[in-house]
Amino acid sequence: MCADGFRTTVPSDLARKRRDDVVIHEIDGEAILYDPRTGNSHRLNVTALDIFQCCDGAATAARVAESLSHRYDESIDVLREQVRVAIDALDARGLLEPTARRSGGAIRE
Amino acid sequence: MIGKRRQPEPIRVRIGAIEVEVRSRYRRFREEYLDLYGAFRVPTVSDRAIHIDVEPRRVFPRERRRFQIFVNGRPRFAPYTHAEVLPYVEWSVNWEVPKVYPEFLQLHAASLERDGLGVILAGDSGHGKSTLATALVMRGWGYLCDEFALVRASNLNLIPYPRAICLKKPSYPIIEKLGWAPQAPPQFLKGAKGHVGFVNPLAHDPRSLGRPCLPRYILFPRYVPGAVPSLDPMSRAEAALELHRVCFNLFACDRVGTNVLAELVRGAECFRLTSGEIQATCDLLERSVGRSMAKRRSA
Repeated sequence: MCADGFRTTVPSDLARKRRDDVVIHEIDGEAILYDPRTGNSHRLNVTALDIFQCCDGAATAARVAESLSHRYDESIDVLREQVRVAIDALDARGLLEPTARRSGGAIRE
Repeated sequence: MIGKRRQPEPIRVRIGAIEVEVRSRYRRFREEYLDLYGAFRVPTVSDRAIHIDVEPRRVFPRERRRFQIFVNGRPRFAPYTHAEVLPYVEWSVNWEVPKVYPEFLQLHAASLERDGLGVILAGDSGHGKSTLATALVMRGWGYLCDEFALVRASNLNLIPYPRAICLKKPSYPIIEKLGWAPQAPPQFLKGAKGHVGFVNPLAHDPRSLGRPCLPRYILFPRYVPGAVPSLDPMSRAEAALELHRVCFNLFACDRVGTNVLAELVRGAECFRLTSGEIQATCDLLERSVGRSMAKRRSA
């Protein structure tokens, strides 16, 4: 279970991809994501938006945390945990789709 | 030989941007409808007009439904009593607007105009939007719409759709205290709202119709009995999320609709309004909105 009560459904070493059909509006440093499949909208702060943008289908949570460590003044361990929680929350809201690629680069069925 | 009863002439009205043609042999309903919308009567309407038929039903004594409302020829509602007919007719028209007029985004909000700039009062039912809108119109604000604010997607303008304001019974003493005598008591029944009445703000002052304008102030009111009225700034993203929630046809408009709402909040100041005593709340809005709009105009 992640911090905001959503159940973790995807293993954390699995790379996630943001859904291409989700509409993103950046407004004053925050973002509104509109999901046309469900009609639901979600509000993200700047960090969550950065994490969402990093979910390109190749980067795992660890790799996302690593790339964000250059931008944020936080230890990599703290960032890794925060990224994992954020990805779980985005995933629980159906904004990400899992990909078959694992961190080692192997393709799974 | 008994001849067929003649169908009375349809009531054709243009309520701001929306055209409606109402046909009914039911005299009492026709009179009530004309009380509200007689001033909007036009000789003809275009092909886009929403057609409403209201017929009393001859039924077996045990069947309770006594009326049938058709929208563009299709049965929509079957109210039990006369007191429910007008509210359901209003609801039928509102339901049809997004289908017939897809150029508008429809928000669950009241919309007003002040010195050429638009104000949106958005939010769920029971938060005092209609009562506040009525009080502001009485103070000279331009009336655009209650409950179904229309935003033209192509230019973000708030469009006048000056439908009658639906007020719950407890709101009547408030507006009567402000000096407005409604045309009729709250004699209608509207689902969970209970007894309601309809008032036409233009009957109070025909000059109170607002002009199309860009919304510059987006407020989310919440009535708290006895509270000191206050305005608390909210982020534009938060306001956009709230507008998404109260938009009736966002799903149909999809990408265009979300673009419109994002642009709407980018061009406006957004606040949560805690409203209390009506005069104090109006005073607060006149001060704050007036000041902010003066600043905007001088800029």
